[in-house]
Amino acid sequence: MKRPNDNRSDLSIGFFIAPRILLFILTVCCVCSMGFYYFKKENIVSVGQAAGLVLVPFQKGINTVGDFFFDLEQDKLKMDEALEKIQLLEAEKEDLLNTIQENEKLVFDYQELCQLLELKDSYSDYETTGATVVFSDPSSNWFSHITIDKGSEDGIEENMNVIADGGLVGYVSEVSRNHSIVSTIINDNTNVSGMQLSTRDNCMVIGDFPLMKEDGLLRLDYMSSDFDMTKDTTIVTSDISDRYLPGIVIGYVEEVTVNANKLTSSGYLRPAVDFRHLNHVLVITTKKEIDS
Amino acid sequence: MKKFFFKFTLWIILILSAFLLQNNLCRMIPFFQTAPNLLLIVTFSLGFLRGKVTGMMTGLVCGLLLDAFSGGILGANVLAFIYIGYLNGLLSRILVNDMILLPLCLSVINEICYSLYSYVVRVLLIGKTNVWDYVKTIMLPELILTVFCTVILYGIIMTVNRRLGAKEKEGENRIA
Repeated sequence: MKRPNDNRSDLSIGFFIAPRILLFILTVCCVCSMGFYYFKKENIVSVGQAAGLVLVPFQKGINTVGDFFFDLEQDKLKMDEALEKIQLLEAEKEDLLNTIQENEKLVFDYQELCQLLELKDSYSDYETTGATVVFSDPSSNWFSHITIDKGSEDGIEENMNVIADGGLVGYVSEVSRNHSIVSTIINDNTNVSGMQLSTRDNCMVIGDFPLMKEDGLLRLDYMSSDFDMTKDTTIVTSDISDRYLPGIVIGYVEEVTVNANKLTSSGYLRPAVDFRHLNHVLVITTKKEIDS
Repeated sequence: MKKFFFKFTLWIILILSAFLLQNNLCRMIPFFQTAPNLLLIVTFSLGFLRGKVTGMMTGLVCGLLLDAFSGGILGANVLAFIYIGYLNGLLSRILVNDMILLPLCLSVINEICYSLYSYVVRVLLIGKTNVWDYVKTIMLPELILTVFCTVILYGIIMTVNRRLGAKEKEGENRIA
């Protein structure tokens, strides 16, 4: 069917179907496929399967080449600079050691408090598996999905949560044999139900693409008017979410204002993950369904 | 038959490299916030230079690639791309291909149509209507970059096409 060299005349000699009819057939197929998605919220067939087999190796190659050049550039850092850096780092290390000692005490306190609250499931307890991002910046500027190099062969399943840098990235929306697609929380059509860590007030984290592109922020909404408005309070995934495991950090409050009706408030949230520089992610192999 | 396979290989290489480049340009050049729509350029130039069937087929493959990896609705991009290929194929009968600015104009028009189409699909899907935000953050940067890339990519495609045309000894009379 795919014959790129149709003759330039519009009669397309040697082609079995007239262009007009072909266009009509393809249009009907596309419209059916879109209609199916509209009603069922899933695609008829997964084209990613076949395409991934061909393209993922290519992409891995490109990534390797890119890393190689990056490494070369890094090597160029001069010796002096390196030595200077060592001195600085030594000083920093001393500071950090002090901080660690202080923190150890805090961690101990925290564990004690957690036991009191019976909150033992902090998300460090979830089983995870590492994966590398192969397509990070999506080819389409209109969606934000990332492709990772692990698929059903490595035990990845749909709806598994994906984290990076200790923050929520999204969930696995499509699984193929050797790769899977992760739908991120910055996507326009994603809502994550979250809660404030300390007060357990519920809120909704809503992706907003233009806002993300411009300021790197997400939207916060559906909160009661007595929501804690201090900047930098942590928002985590809530217990009532049907997809996300509870207690994963989503981000930090940037700004909250009470709406005009004085009953609800809304605001902005700075995600914990740097979505522009995602290289390695962790897929949590524990799923919500099993937990509940 | 040999000629056919040669062209088929060229065609596949062109599409795949455009796709991979589009995916990686953001990473290679740090200050690029937006990716230029290289697949769109490939589709409309092949449609314009090689006729509507080629354009349609290119659109089909490009659209499928985009849909497969952007995780969106299967068919949304395919639909847009086959029409872009087909309509540009039709245009080639009307317009004369000796203006330098013509590919640029085509690029602008195609990109605007594609952006508007994407926006409409989104509105149907999600129900968000803040047009101005989308124009400012996605459409305009994409448009500018795409037009810029058209200059390079269209040039390459046209050169290759001329070489092929010289081999075929035909088609020269059409572009009069």
